[in-house]
Amino acid sequence: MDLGFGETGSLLIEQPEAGMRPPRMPSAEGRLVARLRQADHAAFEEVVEQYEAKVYGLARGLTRNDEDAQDAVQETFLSVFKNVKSFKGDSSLSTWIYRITVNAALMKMRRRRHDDRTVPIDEAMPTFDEDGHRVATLPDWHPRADEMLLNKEMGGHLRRAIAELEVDYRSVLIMRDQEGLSNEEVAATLGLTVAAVKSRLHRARIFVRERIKLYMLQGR
Amino acid sequence: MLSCQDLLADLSEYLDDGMTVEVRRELEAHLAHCSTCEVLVDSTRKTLKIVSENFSYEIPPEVSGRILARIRTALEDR
Ligand SMILES: [Zn+2]
Repeated sequence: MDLGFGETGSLLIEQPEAGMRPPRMPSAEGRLVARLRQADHAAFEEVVEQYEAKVYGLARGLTRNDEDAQDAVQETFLSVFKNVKSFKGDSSLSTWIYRITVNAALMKMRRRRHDDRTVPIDEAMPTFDEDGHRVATLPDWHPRADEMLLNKEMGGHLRRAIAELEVDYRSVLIMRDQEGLSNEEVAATLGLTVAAVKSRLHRARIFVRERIKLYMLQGR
Repeated sequence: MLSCQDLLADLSEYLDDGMTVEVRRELEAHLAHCSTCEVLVDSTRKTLKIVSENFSYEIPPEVSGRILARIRTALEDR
């Protein structure tokens, strides 16, 4: 029987650098992993219950497509089930699961490359003169932007701006600001340093904010 | 005195409350007299608040059920 594991069990994302100390596995998690290795049915159901919301949110945010997100969620959990024996506990269980999720989502996105709407990150970065004064290419947000932020149209602008983020930046913004993971969790999941996560997050946030400003000014 | 560029460089850390008290004070001194940066900070903060509060997706119950069903099948096939 083909379980549809695909290639998502293999980790495309680099492992955290050697020398980074893995977090110690909490004993409750250790017990859960031990039960998973014994193919304890109830343990698999517990894992799905515990992680499905985050896994789905992550997959949905990355793929921007419900069908792909659902497939990625299924593949993630089946991959967890298939590969738990090779999970060594170098990272926490959650980090391992999120890493599989990101890889599954990336795989889906590659298949929809024609649908790529990303804009180079530097295109939206504000510019400054030699004295550090902002070079205003456009007037800044209208004081009533606050009210606009709350309306429906604004939600559309925001979704569009996030979809335009290059995937390296989008993944960090989704994990941190949408799903509420910590800088450390994102770093461990993506195999990045915390400094690199913060730097990507910083640029991603500015990008999104600048793009929304652009749409509001253009009235589209 | 910090420039607008300095403030922008620290924007994300400032929003996450990740600075030392001294740096925070310097940034706030700049914000007190620069309405451009004040708008920048305020609008970015509000934008991110919408992302964190309204942008998380609920997993459809039928999807959740399907995943569990597939895992059960896979387990039984072993
Ligand atoms: Zn300023």
